[in-house]
Amino acid sequence: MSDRLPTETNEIILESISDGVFTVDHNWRIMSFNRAAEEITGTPRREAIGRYCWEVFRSNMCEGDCALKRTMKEGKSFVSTATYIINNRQQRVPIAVSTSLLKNEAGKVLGGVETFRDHSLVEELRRELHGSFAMGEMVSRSKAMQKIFAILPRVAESDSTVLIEGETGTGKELLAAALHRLSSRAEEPFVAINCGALPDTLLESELFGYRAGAFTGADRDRPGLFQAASRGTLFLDEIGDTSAAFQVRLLRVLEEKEFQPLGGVERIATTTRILAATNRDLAAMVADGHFRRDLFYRINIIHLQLPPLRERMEDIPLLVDRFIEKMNHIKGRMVSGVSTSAMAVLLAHDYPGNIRELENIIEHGFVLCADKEIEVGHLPGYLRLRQSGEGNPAAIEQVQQGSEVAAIVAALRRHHYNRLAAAAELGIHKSTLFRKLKKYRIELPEIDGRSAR
Amino acid sequence: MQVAVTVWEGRISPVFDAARTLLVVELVEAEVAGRRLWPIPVAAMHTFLRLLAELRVEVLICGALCEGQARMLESRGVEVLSFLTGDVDQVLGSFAAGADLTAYVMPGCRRGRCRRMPARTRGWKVATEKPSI
Repeated sequence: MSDRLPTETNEIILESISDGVFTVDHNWRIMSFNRAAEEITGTPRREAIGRYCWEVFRSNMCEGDCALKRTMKEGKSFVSTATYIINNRQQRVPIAVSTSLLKNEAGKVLGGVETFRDHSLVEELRRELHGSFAMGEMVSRSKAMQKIFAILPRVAESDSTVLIEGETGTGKELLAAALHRLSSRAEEPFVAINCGALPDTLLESELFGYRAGAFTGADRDRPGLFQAASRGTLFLDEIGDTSAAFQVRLLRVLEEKEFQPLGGVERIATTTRILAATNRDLAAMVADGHFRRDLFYRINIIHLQLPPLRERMEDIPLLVDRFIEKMNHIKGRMVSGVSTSAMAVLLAHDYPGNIRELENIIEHGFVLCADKEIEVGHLPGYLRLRQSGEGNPAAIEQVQQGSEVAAIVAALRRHHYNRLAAAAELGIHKSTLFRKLKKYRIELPEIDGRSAR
Repeated sequence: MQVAVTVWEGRISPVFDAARTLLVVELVEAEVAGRRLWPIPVAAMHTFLRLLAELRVEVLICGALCEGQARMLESRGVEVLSFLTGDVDQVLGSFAAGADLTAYVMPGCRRGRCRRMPARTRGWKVATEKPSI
């Protein structure tokens, strides 16, 4: 009895499997086309046979990087190349393609065989999996972030004031926005303000509004952000950078649930929920007398600490995917990801600017990348320099840090330790200055330049 | 009228996304009066749309195209004849003559599949085959 299966049996097997299979001759004309190939491409076999494979298969690889062409040229098989085709319902179908030579019993090459598997379900599961690591606009698989994600719905429902702490660029505003969206106030406005960016009087007029005649130029009543937020959420970012006088006024609003517009006599009731954030250690500031203890306890009902990116490096691939997806959408491109070597460079960096820095790096790569993948050469120079070890980076970094410390200390002294003025002179944002003070452990005297105003 | 075709080795490029060259021809009274090749900006749809607008392209002839991209093109006033295949000169000749383009439709795309039927305002016809009974 022969060990070989009859030809009909082979055909039955080909018709039964869920992988699409087709064969081509040396002129790229389709010779056979199985049932799964019909289903995945949407093209009936009778229309496919005898046609050029690219007319039927319609993959984005056909024109420039055809796996079958490489197989025919090099005599090698290629396994599970990820790509997509466009089916007859105008849909992109993600597939994995394998190719090999088609030979007869004598070993003569008759053409090529292409097998392909519909990866739509895999892609869907991948999206769902990513979804389980997501909360609002944030994604993370780190334990610290997963703990925050787990309690976020209850925190959102509680309606309590929340204090979010984390270095600059860790996503404090995104977390606040997620809290708002998960709360019963989701249909109401979410209003954010950076308290550290405005002087006291301007900050108060922004928050509480003013009445006509309150000051020169106030020719009409203007509602503040408390009124704009109404029954929604007001996010006070950089709360640690506010003056003692402002802290007193804010405390009063939080305790009495009403505020007074500048130049007004009446008090307006408010039900706005307050979320506050800072990149500073508020408890330490309270201990040092730089932040009011009573306000601290008033806003610190629920405390959420966002970890810096260097403590959640496992999130980098997930974040990179998210940023690429976002930029593909905005810029109408089809960048598939970053190369393995580029990912290695990204994973070797310590991200003082946190997620914002990573996003900027990916955007930089996106601009320079003309092809499917972001390569090492597309990343910013400072990352590549560090990676290549050019010019003894440790020594360069030491020198840089030394001169940076000297410049910061000199600027602070010149401005009587007024951080805002020193940051302005150095041409950096004050939150960057605070980060550097912390990083280099620069001790400041008790006096605060602002109190000298 | 300016007509653009995504081309590859003298044929219509099989997949719009992967096309790297655009042939833009000027049709004057059913004759090709001028033709020029343009590199297609790599995978940047908005740059491609800007190029079409700058070249005043009214009709785009191309291969397989997903629905989202078709909508983007049509929203910019470009009439799209997609899922076509074959020799570029032959397709253009038939198009200019207002002939039926059914013979150039990709396999699996007959009977209204693959795309919405374009408005036939300039006398050209595409894929008008009716379902067989």
